[in-house]
Amino acid sequence: MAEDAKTSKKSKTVDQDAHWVQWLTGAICAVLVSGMIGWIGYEAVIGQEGQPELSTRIVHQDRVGDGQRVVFLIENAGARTAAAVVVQGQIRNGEAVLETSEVTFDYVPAHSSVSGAMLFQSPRDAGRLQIRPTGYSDP
Amino acid sequence: MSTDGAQTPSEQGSEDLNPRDQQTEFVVGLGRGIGGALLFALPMQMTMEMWQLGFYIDRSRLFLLLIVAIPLLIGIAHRIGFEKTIGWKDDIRDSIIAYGIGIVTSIVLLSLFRILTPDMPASEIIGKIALQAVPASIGAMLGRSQLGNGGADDDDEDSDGAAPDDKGYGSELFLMAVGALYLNLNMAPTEEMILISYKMTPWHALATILLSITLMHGFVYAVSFKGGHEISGDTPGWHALIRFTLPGYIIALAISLYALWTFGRLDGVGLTPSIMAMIVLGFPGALGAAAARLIL
Repeated sequence: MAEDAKTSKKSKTVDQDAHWVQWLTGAICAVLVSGMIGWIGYEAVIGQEGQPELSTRIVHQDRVGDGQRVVFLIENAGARTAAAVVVQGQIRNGEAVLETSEVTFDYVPAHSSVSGAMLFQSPRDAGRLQIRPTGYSDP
Repeated sequence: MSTDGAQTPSEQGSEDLNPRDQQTEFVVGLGRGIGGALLFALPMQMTMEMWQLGFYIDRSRLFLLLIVAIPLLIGIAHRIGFEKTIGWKDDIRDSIIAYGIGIVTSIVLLSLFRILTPDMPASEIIGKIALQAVPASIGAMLGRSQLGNGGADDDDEDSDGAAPDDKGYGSELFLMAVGALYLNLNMAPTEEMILISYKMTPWHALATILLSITLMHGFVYAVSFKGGHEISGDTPGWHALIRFTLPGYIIALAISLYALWTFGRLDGVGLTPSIMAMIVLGFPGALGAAAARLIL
């Protein structure tokens, strides 16, 4: 019997006649794989070697003790990931800088956003708050 | 079962051993389980990201992982379990033991490395143990079958003689999932996976996809490793590609996506970077899936 030959060699043979479930599964998976290749291929052709485009947005501010906590989002609209992104926050009263805080993000991936928070000792009404990314490295 | 007359005597006779021998066999089984847990989970026990994940992993995702592990272990027990398990009751018993071995080895090793100390909060301790227990329990289950005296390989076709095509196919896909999961759990927690995907351009990702599929197919069908599969003479090669390799690759990708999501690597990340990370982790996953078809 053919089965004896199979088992004795401890290997399996792929026969031509297969259950339709195998073909259906195979077809769905072929569509998925080609869809993914198509998407990445599209990105490869269209997406130029852009630069990270970073921007910050304050999401939430609340009091912590005498000071405040500023929760913010840093977004990367560019097609390239930024690593070691330094974000600096300053509380200013006119020209004078009252307080500075700094946060470093390991990565801000392309077309993605990451959240973080800064802690200040100055209360919310002490001055004007400014948060901006000051630098990054390539991953 | 009836066709297994040529099996090794120790296995054949496991039914009618006297109680003392049965006990010895059980202890040996436990020993193999512990060996497997150590062998398979040690890389993760010694990975910093896994310790950190223990306290910051999203608790609902950890819970899901712990739950998903149970049917997975039962499936492994059923398919390649340590003894020729007779029924689901034995499979469930075996998987609970393997889970237990996973938990105990995690506690011992993490305490040994001083990752666990008594002054830590309970949620951190439990999180670290729980996270490590899953790969360790898979290791325990695999160790019980693979570190043993073999014989488990041959029974897959005999046992499902009634509907060889269908059941064999399902278990083949399941094996690939186990193989992919094993390598993925090892690598997904590390920062390198996302770092590699950030370094890559889409062209590199395309090359990775093609290489993954080629290697997967080649591993099983072309280079004739022991336990490899053959394509019968009148079957075109692309049949096996469509029916086995591509589904296997999709399984590897799906598992890599699940692992990345579980470890919080996709939070806030856009679609394309997520797909890229999935492709990067899918590469070892694909190799694991192919290797599982040969080894398990």
